[in-house]
Amino acid sequence: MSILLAVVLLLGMPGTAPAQASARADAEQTKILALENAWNQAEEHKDVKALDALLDATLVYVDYDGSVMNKKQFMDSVKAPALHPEQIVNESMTAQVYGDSAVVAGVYHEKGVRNGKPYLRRGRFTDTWVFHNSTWVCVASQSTLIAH
Amino acid sequence: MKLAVVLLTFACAMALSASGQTDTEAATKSKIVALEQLWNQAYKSGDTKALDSLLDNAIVLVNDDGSVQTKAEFLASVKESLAQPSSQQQQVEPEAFSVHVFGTTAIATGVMKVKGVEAGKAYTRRERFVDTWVNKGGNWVCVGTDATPVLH
Repeated sequence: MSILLAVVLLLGMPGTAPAQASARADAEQTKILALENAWNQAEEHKDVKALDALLDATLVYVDYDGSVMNKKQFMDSVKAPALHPEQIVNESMTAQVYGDSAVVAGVYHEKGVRNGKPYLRRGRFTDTWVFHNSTWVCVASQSTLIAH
Repeated sequence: MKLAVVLLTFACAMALSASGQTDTEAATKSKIVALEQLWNQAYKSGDTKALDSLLDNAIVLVNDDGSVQTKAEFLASVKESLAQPSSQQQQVEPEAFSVHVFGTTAIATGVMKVKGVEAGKAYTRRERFVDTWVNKGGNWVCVGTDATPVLH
């Protein structure tokens, strides 16, 4: 009986490990996509404390105009009194998980008011997340305007 | 006395460990820089075999106009460009380049000067790029690349 049990367990292991890995990847995908939405909410509400928790200290942020910012510069830009984002929405998001890192791509729509003038943007974004100290943090973010 | 020896041994071990990590990170940075250069050369020469080995099958490729390509589409576009060399966008050496390493993940970022022909007119522009590399089974492959025109 114990031999039969051992055989069953051994046979079950190869099939179980990939299934567990796949389930973990699915769970992490869901978590990361939720973090992307949390990022949008934090930006809309100028919640820099929430942003601070989402972004790695070494963040590289490339804006739609090709300018580059570090974490502090990005947080300062979010806090800027002249900027009033009204809505930031992501669509067509995909997340590829590679163990302790993940790449999220999607399209964002942003509208708001800057320096008293309304703006509307639609762009493609790519974010790289790393699992660090038991939490996912974004280490790189880039947006590119969609020309067509 | 024994405690001092233990502490000294521990301190030496920590120092060696820290030094080893730095060496590993430096080695990874050098490796990524070399792979970026290889990518650049492969793109210029239309070496799709080399590009195939550098890019992950699930790579996310975002072009400077916001369009997105799969790996197969990108490789096909490189092959097409070989047939029509005048239409191919030429990458020049990166102007600025930096690499951040996070264990088995690395981020390469910089500015690339590109030139090409669009609607019969020659252009030169600068693009900011971020490439994400992942170490899969001992090989570094690019899993994400995005290019944004530098407007200012």
